[in-house]
Amino acid sequence: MQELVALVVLMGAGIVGLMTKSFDSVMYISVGVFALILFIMDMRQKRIKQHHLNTIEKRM
Amino acid sequence: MRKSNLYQLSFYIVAAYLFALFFRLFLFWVAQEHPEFFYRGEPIAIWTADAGLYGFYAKKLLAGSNLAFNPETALGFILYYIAKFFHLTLNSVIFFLPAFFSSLIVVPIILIFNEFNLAKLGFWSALAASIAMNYYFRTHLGYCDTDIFNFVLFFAILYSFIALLKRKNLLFAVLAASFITLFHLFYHSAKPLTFGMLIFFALYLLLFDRKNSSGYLGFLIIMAAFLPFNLMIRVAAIIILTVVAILLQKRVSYKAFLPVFLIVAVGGGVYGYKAGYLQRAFDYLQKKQRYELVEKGGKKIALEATLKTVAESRGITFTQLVTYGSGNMLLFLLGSVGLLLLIRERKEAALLLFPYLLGFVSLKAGVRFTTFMVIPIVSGNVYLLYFISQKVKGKFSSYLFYISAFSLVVYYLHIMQLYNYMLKPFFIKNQVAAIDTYLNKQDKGYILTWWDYGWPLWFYSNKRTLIDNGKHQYDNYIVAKTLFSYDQHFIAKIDRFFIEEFDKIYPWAVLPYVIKKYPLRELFSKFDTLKSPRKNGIYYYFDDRILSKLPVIENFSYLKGEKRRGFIWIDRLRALDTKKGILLGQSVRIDLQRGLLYVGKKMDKIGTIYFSNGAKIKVIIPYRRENYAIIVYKNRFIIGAYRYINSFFFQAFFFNNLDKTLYKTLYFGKDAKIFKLVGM
Repeated sequence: MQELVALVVLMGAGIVGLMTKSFDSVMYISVGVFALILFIMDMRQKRIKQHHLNTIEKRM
Repeated sequence: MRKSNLYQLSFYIVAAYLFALFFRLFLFWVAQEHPEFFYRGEPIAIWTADAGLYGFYAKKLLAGSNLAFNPETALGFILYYIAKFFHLTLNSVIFFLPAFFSSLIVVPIILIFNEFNLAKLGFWSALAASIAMNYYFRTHLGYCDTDIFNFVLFFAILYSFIALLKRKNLLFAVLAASFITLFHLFYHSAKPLTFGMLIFFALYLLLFDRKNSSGYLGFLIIMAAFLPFNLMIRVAAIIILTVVAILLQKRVSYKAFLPVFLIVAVGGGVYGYKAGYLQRAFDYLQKKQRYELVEKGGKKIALEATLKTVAESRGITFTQLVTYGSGNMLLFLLGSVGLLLLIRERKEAALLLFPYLLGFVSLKAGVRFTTFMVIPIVSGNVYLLYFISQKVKGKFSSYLFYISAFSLVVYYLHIMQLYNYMLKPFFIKNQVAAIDTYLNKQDKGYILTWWDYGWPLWFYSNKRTLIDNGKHQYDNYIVAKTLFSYDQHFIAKIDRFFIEEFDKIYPWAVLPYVIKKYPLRELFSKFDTLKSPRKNGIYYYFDDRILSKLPVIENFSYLKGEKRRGFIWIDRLRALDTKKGILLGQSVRIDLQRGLLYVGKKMDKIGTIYFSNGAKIKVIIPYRRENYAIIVYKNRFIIGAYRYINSFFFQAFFFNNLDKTLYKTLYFGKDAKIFKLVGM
């Protein structure tokens, strides 16, 4: 999954960088965007896990 | 990391391939900002001289010529078939093909890492390596050279070796033999490389994996790809050896195979040596300083040797090696450490040391060899990131790996895009248009210019050249002599004579042929008596690219030991201040008011300074009666010429001042100059 996100972010940043003619800055910003998405993904994963645990707890 | 399943592996390969392809196409968008990079609505195809050769072969094939398929023409055939069957223009195919072929490098990289159960690292290495440094520099759009596929095949062979050692499955030896056969069919200089790989593989077996009987049997199968017989016999030998090896594999101990392996390895080594694979590598490392010829009467003449003057073949510094191979010293060192760590954990990765070490050959044999080390160094960096992230406990572990690997890819993309802005086609629009208009007419003819222009001119014109990017051992002298001689009547006579003689023996070198009949001194002193039929048109083509070569060409215009008449140098213009009267180059300073030239603390007196805009001499400042002339060209170059201002090249290129009874100016623009010999 992280690989797919990386590809989408890289290619998206590449296109934006090309269109705005500021390829380098956009590419380096994409590092931050990628880190942010990873963080959100991680949080979401944890929330889902917690939700599962809560559901199991309730059932028990 | 666990071993990837086929689905995941396919995702990695397809995704990485699309990534490489996507970013490689960026050069096309960059090119669109330059109308001079397009001709008749298409991007100009040839961005490196070699592309001209393969484009020329494809052009001939499309015109219906019969060419033999061999490693020299293989890429030409590929271009031809793609253009023909997909109904694409040859220009588009030449321009875009490198992106499609060179992006395939991701496949062996991911597969190699998959053998180590690290496919995910393979994916990240593939992303970074596919657009990294010299691998990109030598395979970008328009760089339609065999290199676009050489490295893919090279690493595919390494992958087969690693898989053979890891899995002990002899079918990987068949795969290696197949890739080697393909490599030999595709690339004319593949044999020294594959031979070196095999030696490395044999050494690895002996040093680190002596009990691997599959390795020994695999080696025997792979050796069949080197047999000096035709393709069908080699394929048959590979199949038979594979069947025999599979039957023996489980039944016989490795101890029985070891002596056979040693005998075959030594025999193969002797064969390789006799076949000249090592000699070729040696020639490359020990570049000849001179070429010697024996003329009629037995006198020896020595000419300047070429290979040492070819920028690509000249040894580079360690700093350049680091830059081209990895980007910077930090990544070079970390990548090297990472590679060693990978080898410590997965011993078969030691085979990656071969391309890594090949990179160091560039110190002696030229920048192209650094391309081999890009992939092991990038892989080493990615492995090091993984190694460190594994040592970090907690949730930051994976962040650390992903974000640093992502940053590595971004770093190489950044360099790739910077490099894109430095690139330009071999000929730009006005040059292609001039060549197309004046050198593409139906008459038979030869173009005299420096050898760098050879193959691109073959592609864009229908004329032959006296020297080209492959044939530049002896006849360089004729062109250099032409450019730096003063007497235009003498040049016309000599050029006519040599070209008509060359026409008889094309494509062989004419100078050794001629001096067997006439001693050179006699030929030059009695040039007026030479009578040659006028069968071929003789043309001269020049553009700004030749300027940086002038000191080298001047060197070639003398026989070894001959007394020089003058000297020539070229510098880049840094600043021109007309108010203060100062002209600054990178290493020279000129006082325009007094006509004095300073190089460090040395001072020289200038005769005349000329300012040219490329098409006209705009300003002339005469100082004194000295033979030292300076030309400021297009506000970009400063050219210093002592006693050469009246030579053929200077009078033609800067002044368009050739004898009208002998030469006709066909085109004299800012971008190109074309002349024709008419009076002889």
